[in-house]
This record gives sequence, structure tokens and C-alpha cells, in this order.
Amino acid sequence: MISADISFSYDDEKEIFSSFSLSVEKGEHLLIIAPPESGKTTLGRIITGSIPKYRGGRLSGSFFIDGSDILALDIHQRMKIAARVSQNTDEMLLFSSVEEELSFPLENLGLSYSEIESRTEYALSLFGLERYRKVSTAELSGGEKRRLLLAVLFAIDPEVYILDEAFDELSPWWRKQLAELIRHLDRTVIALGSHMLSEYDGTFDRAITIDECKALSYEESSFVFPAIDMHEGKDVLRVENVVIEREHRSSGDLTSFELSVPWFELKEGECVTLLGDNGSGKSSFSRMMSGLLKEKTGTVSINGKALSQKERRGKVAFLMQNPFEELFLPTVIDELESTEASQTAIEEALSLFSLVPDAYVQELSYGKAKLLQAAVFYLLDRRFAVFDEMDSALSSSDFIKAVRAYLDKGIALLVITHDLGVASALPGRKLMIEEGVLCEYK
Amino acid sequence: MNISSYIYGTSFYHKLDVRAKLIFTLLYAVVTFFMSSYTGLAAVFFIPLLIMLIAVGGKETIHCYSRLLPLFLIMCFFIPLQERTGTPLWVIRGFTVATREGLWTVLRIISRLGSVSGILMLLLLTQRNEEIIKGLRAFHLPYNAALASSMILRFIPYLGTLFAEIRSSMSLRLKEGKRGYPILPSITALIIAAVKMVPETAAALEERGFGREKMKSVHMKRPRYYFVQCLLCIIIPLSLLFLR
Repeated sequence: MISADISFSYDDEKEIFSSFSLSVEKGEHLLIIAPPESGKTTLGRIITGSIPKYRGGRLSGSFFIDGSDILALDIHQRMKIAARVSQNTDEMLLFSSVEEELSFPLENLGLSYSEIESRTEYALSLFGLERYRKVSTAELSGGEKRRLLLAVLFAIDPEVYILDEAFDELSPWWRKQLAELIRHLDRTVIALGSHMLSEYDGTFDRAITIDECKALSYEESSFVFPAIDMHEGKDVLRVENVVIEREHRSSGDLTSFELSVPWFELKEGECVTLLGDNGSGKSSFSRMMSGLLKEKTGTVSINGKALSQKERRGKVAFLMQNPFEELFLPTVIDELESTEASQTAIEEALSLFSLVPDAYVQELSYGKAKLLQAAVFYLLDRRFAVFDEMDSALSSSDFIKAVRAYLDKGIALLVITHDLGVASALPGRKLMIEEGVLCEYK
Repeated sequence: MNISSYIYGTSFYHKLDVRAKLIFTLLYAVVTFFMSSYTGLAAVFFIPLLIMLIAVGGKETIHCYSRLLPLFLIMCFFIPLQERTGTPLWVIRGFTVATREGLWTVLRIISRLGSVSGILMLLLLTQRNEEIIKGLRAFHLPYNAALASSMILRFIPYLGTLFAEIRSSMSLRLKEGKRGYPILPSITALIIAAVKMVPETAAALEERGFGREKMKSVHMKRPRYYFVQCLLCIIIPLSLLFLR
């Protein structure tokens, strides 16, 4: 059904695909596992058309789906043939409410109002978003945004579903749900991922990888998480009796969200893993700890000294889910030099996080941007750091490399993850947020 | 990108029909430019502020207007320096820092900018995007133009939000003990983000099928007292001309 042979390079001559051949049977579920910067997202964008039209580059070859070369079609004409869930959720959300986000593509398909309504209701129920129908997308958590994009894709119901790291940011329960939905889907699915997840087992018919600009069959080598040591120090960050409140400003039907943290402690050099459902408040807790969000009540202290919201910003590094929210300068080296670290330290960071100094930040892949984000905060030398779903979009080895680098430096880490495999491989305590309260993970 | 600024509410301004609200917004913005008396300038500045207070509360109103404050301050500092011919009010060693005419110009610009921004913010805070598009289309504006207008209306407040996010992220990277945020890199980052947003938004719209189908015409029900609402939304801004 899909028969493609393409070559593509960006305007800076960086070659991404060279006679990249792909053939997928109708209804086949294909998994493409490849490291960051290998061209997975580029492939998704080429199929849906935003590359090269909006991002430049030289594309040659053909990409046949059901006998027609989609490269000859306008982007909007391809929507019914192939649509995607993007890795960066923010780049695809445009409207002021969940409902509008869903109805816009359906209106563009020329469907009747009753059909739009029934598809909207179906997609919302499929991804548990019914109560968010009138809510602004800005008020959704990372995982909820991902579910919304999936709901949009399932509502459009194209011939080819492209899932770019679509399992990332989803809680374990939603990952299982998505895997289940894919298994029963009679459409062609191309899923793109940086690392193997247990949910992929039995969901996909075949796996391939991208290596040296070509598609090759994927040979699974199970990654064994190495043992990581913690070097605990004296400094202690403590959160006591904190309550965080977040309002749903755009909807009158929803009560405001509240998270209660009776007691939380993070010792210098320690690693603590935090789990919890989408929208449970993990990111809000991290934002509060790093001083980006004000608590309603309670105190945050380091070594017994209570810290104001602004003081926390200089003490706790917060690596946000979307790395591009924290990268501002033109090149990788500009970002690293902005930390005012010594040249030796910068060179060490470049090698530790496998970064190219002259690379343009806005052209980095999502995964590489995460490594740069980690390098920047590594150089800033904070004693405490929060990795907010750092493992998504990174290969397991890159993620472990980042964790080890921080812990070896004696930095205390709070790692937020949805991957139970990652959680069990990390050293230290495991916590979770359940029914609005931070507690020990059982 | 996320362009939402709607806040749920049940105020009279929330309940006003979107078409009446669009008429009010447009007329109000136009009338603002006819004001030249102290009373008129004060009225056009404070009316949206007052409605906003009633519609979305003090916290949100302060939040919205605080985004305009840096702009107002820049105007207060630099415009009087440009207009130094006139009745001097403040002279330092023979150098006229401010004149009556300079201050009047500042007041006029601030009032107009504040009132136009205020009335637009009020529309966006109290009306959902899809309703604004429907309202514009009800006035026979083509779908593409209605969508573009609605997005442009939201682009400016969105840049304000984006700038606040950039400032927060920047503050996380300051050396311990330092406060504030580096202004120049923040503005550069904002410009880059704004420029990047254009192709990203266009690509996202097209991938969602924008331009694929000719949109169906819009039929909006008329609420009770629709004509009274429209009439009031015409009379109120026009009556401000008596204060000009």
C-alpha cells in the first residue's frame, strides 16, 4: 500500500534520507525505532507535507500511498490520506478550546454537523477528554495535550496514522489504552519512537530503524539499565504542608485542581522518581519547587532556611517537558556559553551530552534539544534538579547518561516519568501522586 | 502555540451576543481616535477597564493591563523628550525635559493605546475563538478572513504571554542570588519565537485541512433582545463623542 523511495537533505546540506525505501502493507502496523536526529520527525512531516514547504530542504523521489504519489498533493489534500500526532504537542494546537481543536479538521473534511458532533463525542470518549470539551488547551497537562492530539487523529481517521513519539507523556494506563486501540485499528499505522517501550510488544507487526539515511530492519537489543550510584551530600531541600492550586479559567464546569504535599524531602546527590497520572500535578509540583509557581500554603526550605518563590529559581533547576521553552539563543555554543561556565567545563558538557557546538538550536531534533537543555543546567551547577519526562524522545542510553552525569556531580534529582521500566531502573525512592496527594509509591 | 485567553464567566458582557460585542468593539476603537478632551480620554481609557473588572475580576484585569505598563513607561520617558517646543514644565540646567504639549501627547497616546488594547482584550477574555469567527462570518466576512482576523486579534496578547514564559525560563538560568531577567536575550528569544510561529502555524493549519473545503455558511440564532443589544452597542460608543 505504501511504496516510497525518497532522498532528502536540509538547506544546510545535512543529508537525512538517501534513497530511503519504505514499503508498508495496507493495515500493517509499523514501528520505526531510531535515535534522535535520525530523521523520524522529518519523515512524518514529509508524509503530511509540512516539509519541504514550510521548513525548506531538497526532496526527491516518490511516496505512493494507495497508488497515488502524495508528494504531488497539497498539504490539505493529504489529510484524509495521512495525518500525524506531532512529537511537540504545542506546535499543532491552535485554537482556544478542546472542542474547537477537534471540530476544525472535521469541518475541513466537509462533514455534516451531526457527523462532526458524533465523531467529536467518540474521539473525546476514546481518550477520556469529555469533561475538558470546553476547556482551553493551554490549561491541559502535557499528557492531556497528547491525548487531545490523538483524539484529533482518531476523529479524522486517515488511511495512514503517523504517531510521532505518541506514547510519550502518556501515563502507563493511557499507554496501554493506546496500544490496545492500535491493535484493533484496521488502518495503516507508522509509529516513530526513540526507545523501546513494553507497550510496543504485540502492538506492531514489524519494526525497522533508520541508519545512515536508510531504512534497515531493526534488531532488538534489550537495553540493560546500568546500576547508578548516588553520592549523598549534606544539603536538604524540604517541602512541608504545601498546597498548590490551579484554576480551569476557561470552563465553569470544572473545579480547580488542588495538589497537597504534606512532606517531601530531597537530599543532595539523591535520586527520587515521581509517577502519577496525566494532569495529576507532577509538573505543577516541579514548577512550584523551582519557583515558577506560587504555592497556596506551606513552605519550601533548603537546610532549614525557608525560600521565597524567587530564591528557589536560583537553587532548583527545572528541565521542562518541552525543551524549546528553555532554549533561546541561536546556537548550541551560545546556549552553553550563556551559563558563564569555564571553557573546560563547556567542552566537557559538549562531549558528555554529544552536542555539536555550531548546530542551530531551532534546527535541533526534540531529543537533541533535551540533551542541550540538560547540558545547560548541568553547567549552571544547581544542587537540585527536576527532570520532567526527560526520558521521552531520548534513547535509553542518552537518558541514563544524563542522569548519571547529574548524580555523579552530586546534584539531587527528581525524575518524573511514565515509564515503569525507567522508574524501576533508577536508584532511590519512588513517589507518586494519587488523588491529589503526594505519597510513597506502592 | 496556544492562542487562548478566554475566561469563563457569567457577567453581562459574557452574555452579550458576539455580533453586538463585535459592533461595540469596532465602534469603540474608532471613537477612541476622535477624543481630544481630558474627560473624553479618561472615559475611553477607563470604560473597558471597568467592564473588565466586572467581567473577569481584579486579578485578571491587573494581569492584562500590567502587560501594557512597560510600553506606557517607555512612552512616558521618551515622548516628552521629543516634544520640547512649547510651555516648559521641567527644566534642568537650561535643558527642557518636559513640556505641557509633550505631556499632553503622552496622555493622548496612552489613553488611545490603553482603550483600544483594553476593548480588544475584553473581547478575547469574554468570547471563545470559535464564536468570534462565527460572529465575523455572520457579517459576511469570508471564512479565511474571519479565521485570520481572529488569530491576529489573539496574536498580540499571546506574545505577551509568551514573553512572560520566556522571562520565567530565563530567570531559572540566572546565577544564584541574582534577580530579574536579561532583557535583550528575552526580547531576541521572543522575536525568534514569533518568527518561528508563522510557518509552524501555517503548517499546522494546512495539516488540519485548512483550505480543503469551502466552509458552510453560518446561521446564528438571535438571542432575546438581540436588536436592543445591538442598538445599545451602537449608541454607547457613539454617545462618547459628546465628550470629545
